Amino acid sequence: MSTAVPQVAPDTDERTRTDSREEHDLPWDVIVWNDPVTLMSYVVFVLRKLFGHSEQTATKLMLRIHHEGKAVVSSGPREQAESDVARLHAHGLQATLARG
Amino acid sequence: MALSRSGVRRISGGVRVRLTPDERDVLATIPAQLRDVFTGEAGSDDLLTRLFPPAYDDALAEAEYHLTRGGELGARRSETLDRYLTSFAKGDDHRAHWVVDLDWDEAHAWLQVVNDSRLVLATAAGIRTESDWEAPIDTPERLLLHWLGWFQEQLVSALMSTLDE
Repeated sequence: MSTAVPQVAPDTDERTRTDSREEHDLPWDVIVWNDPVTLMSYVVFVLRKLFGHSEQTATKLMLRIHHEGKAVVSSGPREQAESDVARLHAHGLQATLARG
Repeated sequence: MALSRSGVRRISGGVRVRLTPDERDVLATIPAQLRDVFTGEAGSDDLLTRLFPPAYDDALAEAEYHLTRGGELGARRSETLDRYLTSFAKGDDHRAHWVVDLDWDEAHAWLQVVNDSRLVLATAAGIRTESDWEAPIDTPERLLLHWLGWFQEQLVSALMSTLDE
């Protein structure tokens, strides 16, 4: 049994290091979900107001949300993505974040 | 002289909202409706989840988000509602209409409040899919939802033009 410990421990460490590296390197995606109540024009307005998108880009994103059920509207470090989600929530949109 | 109609139009420094007395009365009922939901005194879990949706799939991360952001999101909604109430009180009757001039901050507050109101009413009316909108407009709730949709479009269109400047 005792010999098993040193064999297992380095593996665990290695895995932890990899996870933690991935957590820092991989951006988080901010996803807006379709809902049956929110006006399409309002979604375009909020995306433009919060992310500074052009009308064309915001409309493209809104249509993707509408037709595909969801779209990634921004991505970045976790803290920034979470702050984007909170701003979208404050505007009444359904948004989540997930590791990209 | 043409009769002027209800609606929202841009004026210098903001927008002018012009409504019939009946339409004004509808807007006057919103704050009580929302405040009760915000304070948890009315409304189902469905409503609260719609107004304060989850940010994470992971339960632990979600609990942390709720803890760190939930208070701020609730406080912000209350402030927005206060701004709506204060500006609503500036309105006045002009002949057959009720008119209120809003600055841009107030107009943004109105847009948020009307959006929240539609979310609350639609959730309560059981609108879960887009085809649920195809049902006949045969109840006061349905009529109200459709009217609020029209009014929100008016606000969005007035505010959208400011984003290009």
